[in-house]
Amino acid sequence: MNDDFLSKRVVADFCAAFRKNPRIDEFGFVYCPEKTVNKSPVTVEGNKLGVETWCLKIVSPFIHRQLLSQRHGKDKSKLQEYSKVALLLNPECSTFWNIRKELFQRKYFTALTELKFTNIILTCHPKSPETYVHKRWIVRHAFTKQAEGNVDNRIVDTDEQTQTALDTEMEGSRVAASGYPSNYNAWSHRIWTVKALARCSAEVLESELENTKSWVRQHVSDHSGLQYRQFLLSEHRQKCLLEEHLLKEFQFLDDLLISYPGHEALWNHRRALYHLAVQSQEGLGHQTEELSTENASVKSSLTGLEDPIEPLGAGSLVEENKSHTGEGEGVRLTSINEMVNPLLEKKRALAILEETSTSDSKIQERHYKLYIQWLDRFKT
Amino acid sequence: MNLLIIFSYLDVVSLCRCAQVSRTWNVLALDGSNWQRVNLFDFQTDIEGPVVANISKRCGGFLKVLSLRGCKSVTDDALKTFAENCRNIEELNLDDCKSITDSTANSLSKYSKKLMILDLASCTAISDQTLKSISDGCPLLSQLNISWCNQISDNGVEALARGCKDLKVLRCKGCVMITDDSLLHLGLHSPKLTTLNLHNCVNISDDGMQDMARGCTNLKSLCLSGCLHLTDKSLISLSNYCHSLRTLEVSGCCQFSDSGFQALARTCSELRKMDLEECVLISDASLIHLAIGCPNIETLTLSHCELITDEGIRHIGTSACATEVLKVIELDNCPLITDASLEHLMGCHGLQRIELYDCQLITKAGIRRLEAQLPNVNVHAYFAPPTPPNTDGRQRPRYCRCCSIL
Repeated sequence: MNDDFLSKRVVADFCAAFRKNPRIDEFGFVYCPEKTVNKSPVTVEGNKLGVETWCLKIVSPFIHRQLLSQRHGKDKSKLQEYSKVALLLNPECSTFWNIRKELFQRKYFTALTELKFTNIILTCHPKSPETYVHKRWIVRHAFTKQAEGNVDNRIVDTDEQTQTALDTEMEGSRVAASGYPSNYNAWSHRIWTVKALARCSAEVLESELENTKSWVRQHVSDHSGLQYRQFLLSEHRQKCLLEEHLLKEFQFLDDLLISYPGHEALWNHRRALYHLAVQSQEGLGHQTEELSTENASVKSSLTGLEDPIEPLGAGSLVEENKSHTGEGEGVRLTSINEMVNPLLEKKRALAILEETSTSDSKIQERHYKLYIQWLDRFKT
Repeated sequence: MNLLIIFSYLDVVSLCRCAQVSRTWNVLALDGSNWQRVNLFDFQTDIEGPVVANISKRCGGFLKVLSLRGCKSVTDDALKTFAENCRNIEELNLDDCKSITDSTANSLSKYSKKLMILDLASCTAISDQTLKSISDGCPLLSQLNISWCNQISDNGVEALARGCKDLKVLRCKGCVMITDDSLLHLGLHSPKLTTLNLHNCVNISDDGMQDMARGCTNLKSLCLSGCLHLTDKSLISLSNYCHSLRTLEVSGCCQFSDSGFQALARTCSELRKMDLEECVLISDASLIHLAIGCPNIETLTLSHCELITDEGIRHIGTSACATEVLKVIELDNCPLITDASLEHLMGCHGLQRIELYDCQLITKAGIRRLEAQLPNVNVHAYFAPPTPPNTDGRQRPRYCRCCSIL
């Protein structure tokens, strides 16, 4: 019995914390196995909410029971508080999320509030799949319905609100991505949001490319982050824009490959970019007959450039090593045709290898060789 | 007819099921006399106009008590039919029937002359017109709940006070448009008032309280929680006129201080339940006065009264109410309370519950000692469930189940 009162009190403490600190943006567990002071387990420091772990084994079963028993009852007021606390402690329970969906449909809270709440959960559980599923459900039901022509006058879909939702989602994904290495869930959610909320508009694609640039620089081994950039590039519908971005991306990638040798993620990214470039060029090639002669002349001038690449022994690779410049001098790309030319690409890859510093050259060499093999197998 | 007597004990669902058994049972189960008290809370949103209309035709003049709490789809028309058919209705609960408007009160006023208890809480569409109709047509009204009906204003309350002279219970939680004017009229015209709930009626002040107290000297239960503008003058008015006061809830009235409670304790010796949460100005002095003046206190809430110390609790612990009468004491969020307070309360044999959340100077040992002395008490603190009290090595007497029946 005492447990029930204690649990109710802790839930009340949670609600008071949220009420008094509306700007809470992070949640975490404070490890505390045994209670020694008669103080609330719920603490708020700055804008961070914490709960001590000793109370979990008492509070969780209580909330679980209450939610399941009161779910179909007539009195929905307690459900909101209980579900909030329950999901902070354990976001993997679909039933609790469904309870919140029901409350949302009864307009107990707005979509934006719910999205912010899920962001708080993600700070503690960055990979929680159920949270992302719920986010998508909310976005679908609150923001995209109007676009599909369903007139639901409960939901006001102003551009400003959609923009706020978009910003909230981007922020949440960013925080979640930082919380766990290669957070596939977070990045794929980000992709979904760009498709659903922003409908892949050009401005959003541009701004996202810009925003994620510094992030990628700090997380070079994050496969999912790089995959996101690939998605952004592939969604460009205008070929000239795509070309421009691909050029910049190759440049950026060259820098990264030299600065951070031996990261498989970066080499994979290069493969993807190459693939994208080839696809894009094929698209160009199909367009008009007039361009084909132009292409032919461009190609012939390019063939003049290529030098026969001598098979280099391992020793000479090491000797070739120049001082690490930091900024890739490399071969500057000027057109998409240069990008897709396999021989030029091999030459550029070699240049990267040469730029790499001695200590890392072995590992870089391994990746280089694999890349060359892949290029050879690659059929346009 | 024994069957009729048996049916009179059944609830609505069972009666309806019985009515499907056979023709005889149908006639008996649906006999009006079984339907004097009908509670449709469990059906809520399923209840719509036709259901209420049917019930009212079936029950006719037998129906005395009807609860439609939570039935959000019930409309004015349904209730008009109901009022026409069931003229003997005495108690009607329309809590949370959001579709109701002033028209319902009009119907009730015309037909429900015997109405005594009416609950219109959360019927947000009603206005002063409702109160005017009720005051015209239902002179016997003694209990009215208009909580959360935020369109109600002083005009309505004035009409109510003038028309329903027998008014004993009035609950207007959250009726923010009520001001001192309402209180003046209640004081002038409602001398029988025993229960008044003005929770969150923020626009009332000391003057209104004085006018009300002067007239409503039979007041037993008063709630002023959240009425921030009240000062000690209100408490002094109460102490001058309302000596029968038993329940006083003033949580959030942060301007109340020791001098107000000193006055109150001098004359209101019947006080049993006091909620002083967040009355941050009060100190041990108030507790000393209450200990002397109020020997009947059963429930005392002092949450968030940060100036309270062990000394004040010592006086409570040795007061006339302490030994047998005090049941519940709430001291959560009083940071100066230490184990010494628990020592002082060890003589309270009637104590059932004590709240100590966030009293950081309280220790586990102190709580254990209290529980050893008072085995029936529920101590609420943040400590994990306490270990069972020491039995001094004595073996607990054991009973097997069959022996206890024998």
